[in-house]
Amino acid sequence: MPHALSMPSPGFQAIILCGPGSSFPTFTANPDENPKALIPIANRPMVWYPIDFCYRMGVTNITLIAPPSSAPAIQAAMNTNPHLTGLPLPKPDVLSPEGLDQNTGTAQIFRLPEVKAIVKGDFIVLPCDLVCEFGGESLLETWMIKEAGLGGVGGDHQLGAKLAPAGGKRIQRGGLGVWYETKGENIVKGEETDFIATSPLNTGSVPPSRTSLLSHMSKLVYSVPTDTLNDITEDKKSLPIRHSLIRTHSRIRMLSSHRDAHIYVFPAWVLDMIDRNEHFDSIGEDVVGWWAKAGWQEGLGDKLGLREVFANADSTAGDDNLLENGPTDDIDFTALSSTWTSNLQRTQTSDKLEIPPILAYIHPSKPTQKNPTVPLIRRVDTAPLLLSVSLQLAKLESIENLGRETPSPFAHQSKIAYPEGIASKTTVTRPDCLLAENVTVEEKCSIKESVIGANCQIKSGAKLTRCVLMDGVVVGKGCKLTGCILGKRSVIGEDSVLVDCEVQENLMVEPKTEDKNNNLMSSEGMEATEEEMQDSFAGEEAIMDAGEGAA
Amino acid sequence: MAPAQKSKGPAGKGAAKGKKPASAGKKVDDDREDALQAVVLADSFETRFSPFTLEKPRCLLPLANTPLIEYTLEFLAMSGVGDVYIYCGAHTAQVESYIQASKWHPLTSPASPFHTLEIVKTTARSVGDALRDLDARDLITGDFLLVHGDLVSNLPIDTALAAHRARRIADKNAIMTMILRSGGLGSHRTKSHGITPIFVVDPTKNRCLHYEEMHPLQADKFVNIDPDLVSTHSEIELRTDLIDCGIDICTPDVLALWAESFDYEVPRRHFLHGVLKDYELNGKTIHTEIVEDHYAARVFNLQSYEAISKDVLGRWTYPLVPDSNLLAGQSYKFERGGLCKENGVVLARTCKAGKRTVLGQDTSIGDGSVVANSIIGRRCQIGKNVNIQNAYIWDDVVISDGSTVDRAIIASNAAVGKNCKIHPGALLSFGVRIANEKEVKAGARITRTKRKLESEEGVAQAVSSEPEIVGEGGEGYEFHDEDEEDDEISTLQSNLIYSTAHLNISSESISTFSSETSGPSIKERSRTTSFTGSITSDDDPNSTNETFHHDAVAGLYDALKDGGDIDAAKLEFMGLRLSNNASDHQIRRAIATAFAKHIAQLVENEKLDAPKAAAQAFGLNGAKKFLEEVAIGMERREEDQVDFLVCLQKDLAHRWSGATVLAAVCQRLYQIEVLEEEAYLRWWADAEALGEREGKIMKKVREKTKVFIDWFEEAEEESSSEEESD
Repeated sequence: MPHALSMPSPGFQAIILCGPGSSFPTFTANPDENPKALIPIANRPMVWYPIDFCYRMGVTNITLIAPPSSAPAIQAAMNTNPHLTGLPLPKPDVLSPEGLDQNTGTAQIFRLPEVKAIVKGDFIVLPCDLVCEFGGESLLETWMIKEAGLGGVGGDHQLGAKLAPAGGKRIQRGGLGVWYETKGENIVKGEETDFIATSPLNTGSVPPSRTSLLSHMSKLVYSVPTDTLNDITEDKKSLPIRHSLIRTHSRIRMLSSHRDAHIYVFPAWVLDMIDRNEHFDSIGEDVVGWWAKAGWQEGLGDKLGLREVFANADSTAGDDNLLENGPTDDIDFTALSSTWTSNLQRTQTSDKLEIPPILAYIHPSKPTQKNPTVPLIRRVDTAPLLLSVSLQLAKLESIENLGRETPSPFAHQSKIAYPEGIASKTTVTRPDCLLAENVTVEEKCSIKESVIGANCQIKSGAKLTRCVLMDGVVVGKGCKLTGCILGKRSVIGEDSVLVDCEVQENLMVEPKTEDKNNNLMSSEGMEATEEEMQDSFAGEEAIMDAGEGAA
Repeated sequence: MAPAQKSKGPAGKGAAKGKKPASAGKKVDDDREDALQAVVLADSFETRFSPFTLEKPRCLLPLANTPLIEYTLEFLAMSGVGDVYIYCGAHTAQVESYIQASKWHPLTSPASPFHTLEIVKTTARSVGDALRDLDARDLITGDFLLVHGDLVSNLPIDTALAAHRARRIADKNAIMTMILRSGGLGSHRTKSHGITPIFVVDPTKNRCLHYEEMHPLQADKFVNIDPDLVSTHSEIELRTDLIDCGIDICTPDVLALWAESFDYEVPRRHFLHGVLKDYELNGKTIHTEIVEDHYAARVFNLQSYEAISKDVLGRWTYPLVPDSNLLAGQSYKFERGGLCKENGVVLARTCKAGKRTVLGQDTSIGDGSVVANSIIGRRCQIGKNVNIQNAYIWDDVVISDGSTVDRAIIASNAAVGKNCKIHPGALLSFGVRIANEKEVKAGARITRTKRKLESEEGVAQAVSSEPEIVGEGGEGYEFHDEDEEDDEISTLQSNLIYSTAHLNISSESISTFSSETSGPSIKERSRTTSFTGSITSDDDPNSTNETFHHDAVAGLYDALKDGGDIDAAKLEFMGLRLSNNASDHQIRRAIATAFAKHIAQLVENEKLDAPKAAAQAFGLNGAKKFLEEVAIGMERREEDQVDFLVCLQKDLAHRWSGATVLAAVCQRLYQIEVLEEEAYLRWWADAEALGEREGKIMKKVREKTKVFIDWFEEAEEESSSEEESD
């Protein structure tokens, strides 16, 4: 859908939250200098992915929110990292509100005055660790059809009149979230999951178009992280489900292996709701969870102060509201259908608070005939996920090979950026490897299914299988590394054998180390000194020279 | 019944446990395409169609002028069924004579699509009894269809059957496939009102994981799902939008499971719920086939009678519509505006027989009358200026000039006088006469059935008419159902118009912020429970703690039957009590049920005399101690003893020769000094004081105990007179 890219964005702004990365203990031991947002995934800094996602869906008003302590590092990277500087204009802003530290909850962020000041209208919230191949424009399109009333085929009869002219009380727009299956082709152990319950949307008599996401859309009625759910079930020995939920929604689908992608499309009033409810701590758990519940629990909406929220929003409707201009005749096409049976029971109407729905897009995990390949959506917040996603992205064909029409937005220009650096008598399996600029590989090496960052050196005889190397790593002679993640500028001594290990940045691993399933981190004193680092740089240069000489 | 009892052991166990010897032979059966068998439950052993079912079985009540069973048999014929077994409860003779005269019986009608059609006579009191009886008869040889005699469906079952067979070949434990019709997301007239069935399904495997029913009177406002289900199935659907048409494709293992659990009475709430709950134990799986097309529904109460009538008139059930003339001798023709008319209908020039209306043969409608959205049977006489809307009028009904009938059912041979008003929801049973100028109030149920009086002879006598209901000169009285009054839930089901207005439904609690969230709580804890509010602390004896009852009775009954170790049973019993947090009353009820059941079985199957049976049961090692300690309690409080007696009485009221057993049990319990004289006297006095409210059955069951109580009273008089004389 190329035309979708050029769709003007109706006042959307994207907020990308750059958190501390507490689940990467090996690589974010010092989150101020090495923020999680800058950890490379397939040789691009993590934050590149959500920013790119925004540009792809036509949102250019992007703000990164980072704690003041780590903001300088991110700002510096924005200005210097070749991937980040290569993004189109206008550049994202970096906002570091004063009250924000590494432990602030995601909902608390939206109560900070600096953040409130910049959020003007409907907004999108993204995490910095999102890898989303899937195009957000179709999400926004669906949201606009269902919630902003552009399509006219509004599902629920009561909520059909979102475009009702001013005068009467205008019904508020809903939100949208994205969930993906964790137990797909690539299962990563220990990935967090969320338990959600959804109810299908009233599809109406007009079938949605083939490209529409409507068939995967449903209404979120309950959401809780699986850990919290386990606490509940352990406590009660059963999973209690309220009758009022069952009565309101006659068909409830409960998914326990999906995960919240943390992509939220929120209408502006959500900011007000977060503001009013001091106890909302995180967006995923509290804001979305309570909102979903308020949809069917009578009285909960009032308790959350939504009545006042809506009253406010009505009186101060923003200028960027494109719905205000131009009368649109609001026809509920579903009501015109003549193929309904009469109902013996009359539905009662009352002065109930209508809670706008929060839609859930459940990303299909299995390929269908319509889409033979499933676009990737993953949150990369643990090391195993980093490994798995990096390797998955490494398998993408390069733009060089495929030309401009490459299907994936994440394809690199070439699989091996610097072919001159590869010695002749060495094996690099091109289809599943990705080697960045200035990587030198000496003779008799074997590199399979690996991602290697810029300026790495692989000495002769080293064997790398399913490894991710960040920038500037030196792998000594005859090393055998399998399933490892090596941090920036780490050095692996000769003849080491490491299996499923994580190596912290700047760490020197002694020669002949053998280890398995371990996180190699520096304790104090073992950290590489400035001098050693200089040395290693010097060595690096020397080797690079040598490599060029060889080429 | 004796062979039934015997075959239960080996057959039941064989099917449940080591199926190896059987499966080798069965494999051949499965592959062979033999004629399908079907079991029709013509009686559902409920009273939801009272007062009509007092005189006629449910399956013969007319729906759009065709008896219900015709629709069911038509469905079976379409499904390619060869052998049909019909189970009847009440009015078996009527069903039998109807079937024999119909086109279905292979002996009398050569055109019958069926090989055999057998009406099984039984003394069954519930669906469970009927199926246990069926299990004992060994009629079923392979997979069979289990349907109710009130099914209306045009659904082809081929796909469901093929899916069932495929699953069955893949896994022997896939014992049953339920066909369910999805009813759309919104409200639908054919969906069940009041009691909502909840199916928990794994949509990826079409497997039913849990079943529960929900109604507005429940104390427990939660559906509790086993967390294991959530962790083992990554996708689960909780569906209340399904219309349960009661078509089950079963394997013979289903009957074995029924036979094992003698406490199961109804197919869904007991059997389905129980089998799914015991999945860990029995390993049996039940699957669903959810259909989106075609029509399938059951006429299980009056509300669905109305809804399905409308569906028939709306032709959703085609070809099962009046103008298909399902019955021999029908001559319906479909005319403009959805009017279905038989030959010989007499319409006055100025009457309006409007949309979606069915008129039977020889019915006449007078001048100025308006009939719309209604079904009128044969030979009815509708007078002048009569207004009939949404009414269901059966054969030979007379409605005199100027009357109005709105959304009511009027059974055959009833007569409505001049200028009457029949308000919505009224039910006029067979032969009722409403005098002129009378209004029948909304929801009235009027009958003139002869009712058995409580006299010894049990001779049926007509109850005198109530003029305040039917007017001077009318015939009929307002019908009251004793069973129903105990049980408000059934009133939701037994009225034509569903309403909860008269009920006091407690408001539901809403989530409090304190529940499970990390945020600080808002100071509003008065709204009672949190989202995950307590579910077990509910010691209301009426609440649905049926699991405890079921398990406890089963354990104790087995111990009694095997003549075994009461002490071990007691341990198990106390364990159950603790884990379920059962109240004292529940315990007494369970014990009373187990003993009463055992003794009644002894009397019935082994032809023991009741006193002997009682002596044998209570004479078991440890039985007396168990009763004293657990059922009554060491304090020997009088209320507890009375409660135990009431429990016994209630249970025996529904058992065969309950009265004799109760008398024997009472005597025995006194002899072994478990219960005391004062308790007996108080129980009797309480029962007498209840008078009319006690109910016919309860009264009847204690009749034979009167001698025993009289003996006490005499003895007391004697002793007191002796005292006086001293």
